Amino acid sequence: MTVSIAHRSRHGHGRTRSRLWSLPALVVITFTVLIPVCVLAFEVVEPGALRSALTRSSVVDAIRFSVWQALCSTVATLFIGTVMAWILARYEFRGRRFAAVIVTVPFVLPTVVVASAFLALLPAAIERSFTSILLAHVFFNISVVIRLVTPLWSVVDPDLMAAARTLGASPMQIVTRLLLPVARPAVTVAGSLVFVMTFTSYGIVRILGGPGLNTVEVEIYRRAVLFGDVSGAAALAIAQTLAVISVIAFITRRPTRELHRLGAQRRPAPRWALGTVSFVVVLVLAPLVAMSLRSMYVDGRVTTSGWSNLVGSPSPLMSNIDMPSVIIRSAGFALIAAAIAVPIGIAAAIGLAQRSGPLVRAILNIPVATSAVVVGFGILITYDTTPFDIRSAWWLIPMIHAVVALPFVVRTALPVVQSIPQGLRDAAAVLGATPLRRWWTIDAPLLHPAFATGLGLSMALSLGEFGATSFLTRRDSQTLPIVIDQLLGRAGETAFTTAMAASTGLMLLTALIVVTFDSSLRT
Amino acid sequence: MSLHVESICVEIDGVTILDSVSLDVPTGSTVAVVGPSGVGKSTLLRVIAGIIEPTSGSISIDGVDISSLPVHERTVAMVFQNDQLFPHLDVSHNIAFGLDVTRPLMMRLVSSRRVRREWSKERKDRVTEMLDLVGLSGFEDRDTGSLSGGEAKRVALARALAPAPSVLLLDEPLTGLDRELHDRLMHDLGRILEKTGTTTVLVTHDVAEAKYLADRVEQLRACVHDPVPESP
Repeated sequence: MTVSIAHRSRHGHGRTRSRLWSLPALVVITFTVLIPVCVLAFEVVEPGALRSALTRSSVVDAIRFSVWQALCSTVATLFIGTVMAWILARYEFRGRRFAAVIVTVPFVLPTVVVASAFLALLPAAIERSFTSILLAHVFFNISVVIRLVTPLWSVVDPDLMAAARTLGASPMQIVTRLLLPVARPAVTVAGSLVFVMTFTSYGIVRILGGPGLNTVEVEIYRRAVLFGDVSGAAALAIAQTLAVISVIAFITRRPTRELHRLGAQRRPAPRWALGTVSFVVVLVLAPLVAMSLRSMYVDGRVTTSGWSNLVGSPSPLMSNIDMPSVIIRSAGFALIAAAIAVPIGIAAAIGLAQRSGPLVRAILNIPVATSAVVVGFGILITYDTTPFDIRSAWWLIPMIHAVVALPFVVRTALPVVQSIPQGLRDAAAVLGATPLRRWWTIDAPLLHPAFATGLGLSMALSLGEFGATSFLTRRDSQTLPIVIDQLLGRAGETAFTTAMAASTGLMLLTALIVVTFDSSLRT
Repeated sequence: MSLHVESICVEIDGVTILDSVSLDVPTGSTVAVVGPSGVGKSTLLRVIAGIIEPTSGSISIDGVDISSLPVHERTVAMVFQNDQLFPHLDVSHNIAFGLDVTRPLMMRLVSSRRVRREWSKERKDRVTEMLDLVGLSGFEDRDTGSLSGGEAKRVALARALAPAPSVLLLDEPLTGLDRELHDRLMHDLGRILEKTGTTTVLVTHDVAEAKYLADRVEQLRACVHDPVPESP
């Protein structure tokens, strides 16, 4: 998952104070990401290690497959996403808001849930194949394209198109010379993001993939955990991180043109648009519905055994997993992760909004460029000597979840922080409010939406986090996604049905959290 | 070229906006249409440009009926109230847009290098000529977002005039500018219209402005109060 933190500074406060605001975030990131990645890099520092690790045939296959499936996924996602963005931006029809919400749902779902849903939907012949990975990636990422492209197209005034027509542009030229170029910055950024996300896809590929269907991310896991080839896995991790950093640098370097906000009215939707929207909505809902139904069916009979297993005592049919305590643990981790990520993320946003050097921004962006798998792997091999052996500490997993959520919290809080006019604080100061009181009476209430969104986001991300957790989890610290993955790997109807029930529950919980906390969905 | 508008009626969602409006603009002259806001002045321009289809009536240029032609085949240029400069193009590409889109496809694909070079020289000269005309020499590479209100209006005018349209439509071209800028732009606009000799329909609510710029001023009255608007 990738976002980047916009750099913008406003009010000219001191540099020192802004560093103080960002300090907690910087410390956490340094210890959980920066140092582990450096240690990984150190593993491959000896000459030739990188090259010999990268030329092994299974590694070459993983790289080739990563690139190829990421390209296919990106092209397919961009095509469907831009068409949907166009319809949602330009046309008015009954159920437009519903459709807009439905297509954004997959992106907040845990990757394990997405994989479960496609296992439930697709026939056994293709459920673990290139096709199923492609479908799951498109399903997961269309909302990225829609979210980025729709705003650009909804500001295209009908008169702007009329102007092009009066100058002699044919309907085809309106598309090629006006609409596509206007959306190009957003399409490029969306395409790069989708490429990075599908290139580093882990949960979906680990479950829906198989022999010959491994991304670099999965290969890192296989080498590190299954084969114990630490230097080979480290080489892949470093190579992938460098590749992702270069794509992200490409995205953030591009100048984004501010468009004048022009009034745009939506026209009644033509039949093709309605048809397309219905088709995409059905496509998005189908796997989720299939998964929910599958959680209640065994051999064509309706049963509640899948759901009752979630609250029952451990049984050998389910690898003796104690489901109730897994669920309670996952919920607890989500709360702790949110309690860590929200305060330090909002503090970092306040620091960024005031003034911050490029170094602070770069460090805050690091969790974006390093995949969760790399972070988990790095921590595993960094903190392995006695005084620093924190790998079995109970707080490690929620802490890593918080770090994964941190860039998202900063990203959503930053605009809120920036929208608080300095004038309000000045007015309060003139009226005699002390700095602390100003903060408490002006900033804190106005930051409320940032708190709510941050809480929802970090809880949802923690509940679904799979990459880092799969490295750090132990028998007594398994989370729901880890257990679902194990159940899906087990033969037998009971395990599968229980996995479907757990996935459906996780989906409902995530959706509930996001709908409750994300104010942008309600307005 | 002369423009002839014959008893145009426009009805949108059952509401009559224009009721049998006729207008004659002789070759090279400027006619101003004035009237209070909401009376359908903009609608009239949009009907002439082809953006809105009239319920009945016809439009002809030099006696040729263009009512059935789509917008992009009409050679009618329009300066919109909000300028509508293309945000993704710089000033020179905005001005050359009309030239670029009407360049024959065959020429784009299969022409020789010499033909292509000639074309791009002509295009460049035309852009320079238009910028000189509107008083923005040297603005070729400017981003449209960096223009002031008056500059954006001048670019919009240059863009409309670049393909040498048969009829120019100006929709409240001087509204929303401050006093000094308004007067300066009004003088320049008068000079430009005279120099290019383009047949022009100007829509405004400012009678003084209309009298200064136009050879003839027409009143457009609301059709709710006056079922038969004045026709010339």
